[in-house]
Amino acid sequence: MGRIDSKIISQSASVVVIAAATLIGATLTIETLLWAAPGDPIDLLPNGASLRPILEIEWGLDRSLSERWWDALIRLSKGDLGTSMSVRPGLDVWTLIAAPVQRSLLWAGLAMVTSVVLGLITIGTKGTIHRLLHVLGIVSIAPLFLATHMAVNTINDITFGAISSGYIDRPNFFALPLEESLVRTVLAIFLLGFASGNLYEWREEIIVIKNRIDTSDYVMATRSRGLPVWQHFLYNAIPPLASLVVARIPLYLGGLVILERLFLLEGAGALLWNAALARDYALASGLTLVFASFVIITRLIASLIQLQINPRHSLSHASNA
Amino acid sequence: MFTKLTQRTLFLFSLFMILPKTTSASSQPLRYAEDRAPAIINPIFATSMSEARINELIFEGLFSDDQELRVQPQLAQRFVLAQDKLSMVIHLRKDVKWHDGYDFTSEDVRFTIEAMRNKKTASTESGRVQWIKAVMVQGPHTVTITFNDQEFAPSERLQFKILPAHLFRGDVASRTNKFRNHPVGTGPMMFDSYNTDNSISLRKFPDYYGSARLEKVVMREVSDKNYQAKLLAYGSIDALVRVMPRDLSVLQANRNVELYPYQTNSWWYLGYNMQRSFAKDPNVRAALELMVDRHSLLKPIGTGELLSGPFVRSSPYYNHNVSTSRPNQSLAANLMQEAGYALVNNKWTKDGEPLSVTITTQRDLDAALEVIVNLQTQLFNQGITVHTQFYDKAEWRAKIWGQSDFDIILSMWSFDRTEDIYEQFHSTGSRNFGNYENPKVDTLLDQATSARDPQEKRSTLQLAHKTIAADDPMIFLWTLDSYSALSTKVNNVVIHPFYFFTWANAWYLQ
Repeated sequence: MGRIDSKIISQSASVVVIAAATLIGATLTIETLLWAAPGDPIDLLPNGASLRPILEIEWGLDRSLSERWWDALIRLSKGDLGTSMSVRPGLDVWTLIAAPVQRSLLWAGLAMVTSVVLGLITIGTKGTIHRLLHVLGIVSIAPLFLATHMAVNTINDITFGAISSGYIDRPNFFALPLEESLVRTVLAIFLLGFASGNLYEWREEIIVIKNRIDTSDYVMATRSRGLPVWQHFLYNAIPPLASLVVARIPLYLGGLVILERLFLLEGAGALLWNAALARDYALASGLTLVFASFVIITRLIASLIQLQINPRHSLSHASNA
Repeated sequence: MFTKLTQRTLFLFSLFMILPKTTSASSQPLRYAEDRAPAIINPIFATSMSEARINELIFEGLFSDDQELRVQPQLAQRFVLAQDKLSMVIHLRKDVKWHDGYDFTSEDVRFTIEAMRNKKTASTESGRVQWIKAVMVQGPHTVTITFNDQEFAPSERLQFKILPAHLFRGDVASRTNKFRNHPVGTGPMMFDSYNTDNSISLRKFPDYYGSARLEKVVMREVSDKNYQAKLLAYGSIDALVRVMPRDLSVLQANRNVELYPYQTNSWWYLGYNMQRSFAKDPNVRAALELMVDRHSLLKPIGTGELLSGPFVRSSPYYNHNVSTSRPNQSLAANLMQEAGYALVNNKWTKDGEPLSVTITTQRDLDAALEVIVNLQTQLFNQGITVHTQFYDKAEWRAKIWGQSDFDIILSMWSFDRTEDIYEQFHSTGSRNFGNYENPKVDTLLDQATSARDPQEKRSTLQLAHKTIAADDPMIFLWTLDSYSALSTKVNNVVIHPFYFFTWANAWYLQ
């Protein structure tokens, strides 16, 4: 036990070092990408040419890439993400992103849960429902933006037709995606968990996991004794499912950028899109850093879960799975 | 499976979801859509039309336009222009209050002008006060403004919005000032809140000195233009500032929507980079103009008027003696041959090189894609290979404005009431990124800038129109008919062609 504890501590330390290096790398990458993109936030101002001498100094744009990156690291070490330059000029980045990031992470998490649950349901059913869900899985390959447009337009047109014909009164959620409503949020989460092949891939992965567990000795032995096997299935499915969750988080976060724009959701994805268009370096860096931190933290948690379930795995092995 | 309690709970929840909210018409907000929410509500830092429009509701200037587009006092009550035209004394209204209850005074005028002039402020509107030499407070409601040069109609240039001096320190306004979170103006609507869905709510200012009938206004960000017209048709918004041409027929057929046409001082053009070898030859430029069928380009995107020069047809500066060119392929071919080109494999070729150009446009310019695709086909059929490029705003500013790195651009210029084309066509103009130079045009534009007699300015600019048209630095395309669309619930609507909300204090919701 003592040997495992010291092993966890030393491996945790190496994971932390790798995580720090990853964050530094993410910061460098986004700073470089933004620097390389043509134009800067001063270019977007009507009289940018005349304001450039002043604003370059104020916004630190007169400095070289390496100087700016170093300044960014120093600020970050003090917990300062800087000030928005062009999306919400003058506003502190932390203040600007706090609520949207929380919303986006919640939506991404719920979308992931949706995908997993739908995937589990598809393998737990039989007959017509199973075939229907199989077809649904194939339909889920539709790209997210296309699925969103189709869903929103279809729901709106049907609802408007019903309102115009007098069948129903105007519901609170109408018209998508303008009105803030539970329907809008649920639909967005469902589409994120469903479209762009998410459901299909989850289903396929869960089938592989199920088959592997089903054919394992302990499950076959349990089944031969006439005992229920679902506990074994769940317990042994958690490590590979945790690895899948960690591997797919970046995809969900990336999907949010599209989804939030289409659904007019005020999340971090839409904010990142606006920051890139507006060349708001501080805002884009801050958001990238927060997302990168989230991915690292979830990987660490998944690793610890896997390690707890199967101490034979090393932390570094689990975190790289 | 579900208990009765759960079933009842779900039933009540669904009723809550479906039942519409009912409010009285007078308390309903006027909801309008913008492509992008204002980044900052402070008129001296405005960078977009969405910011200019919301500023129109919250802030006021010393003067503004009446519905005939004549200048009238707003925060000013009256003014006296000195005989030498080098200064004016403005007497301000005494019944104006800021939204936070403070009195509006001459100090606010002085502060606003000084803050805009102050380089530390880095105001995007600093150009509006460069002509002012000094501003002096003569009393709590009297201010004297002196000018650098004689001004014959200074009130036309004093329409910028006034800021409250008591909410800033010194003569500097900063983007980080907490004013950005709670903007305060003197207008009929006052700032209420930034909402979590990126909308902005305004409410009626109860102590407004004039009349205002709208109780609330809500700005909604709807970044997808495809949705905007639909949302108006659904009744989810009440006003659309500009209707896309493809949505006109749908909204026209809708009984709950009314279309409002308005004239803007904006025109589309194809601009050459005069430093590119193909563009240096006037025969090539003239030939290209004869190859472009502007009617065919305009038809799919809307209606409008073809132009022959850098003004809209209704402008007093437009020279109606300069006719618009019509497509003429044979004449174009003759000009290309005179320029040394020959048709080889149906491609105009010179020195073994087929003529190939890249047309660049902005990604967010409405209908630009349709125009550029059709233009590409037109020119390809006449022997010119056309590549296309689309830039976002920042790229456009950097590569086109900053580096002049283009062959031909498809773009649009929008002008305010002054229609000042100096920056676009003077050889030293900051927006002359096509590198057009003509000393005669420079002289004419200098004369127009310094002209005090409106007739002199008019004839000078009409001559400039003629001279520029003869040089072909651009193919002047058209001015598009513009329409706003509002719900029929909104009454007494008159729209300002540039700022939209200038006369919104008379609007009301039924």
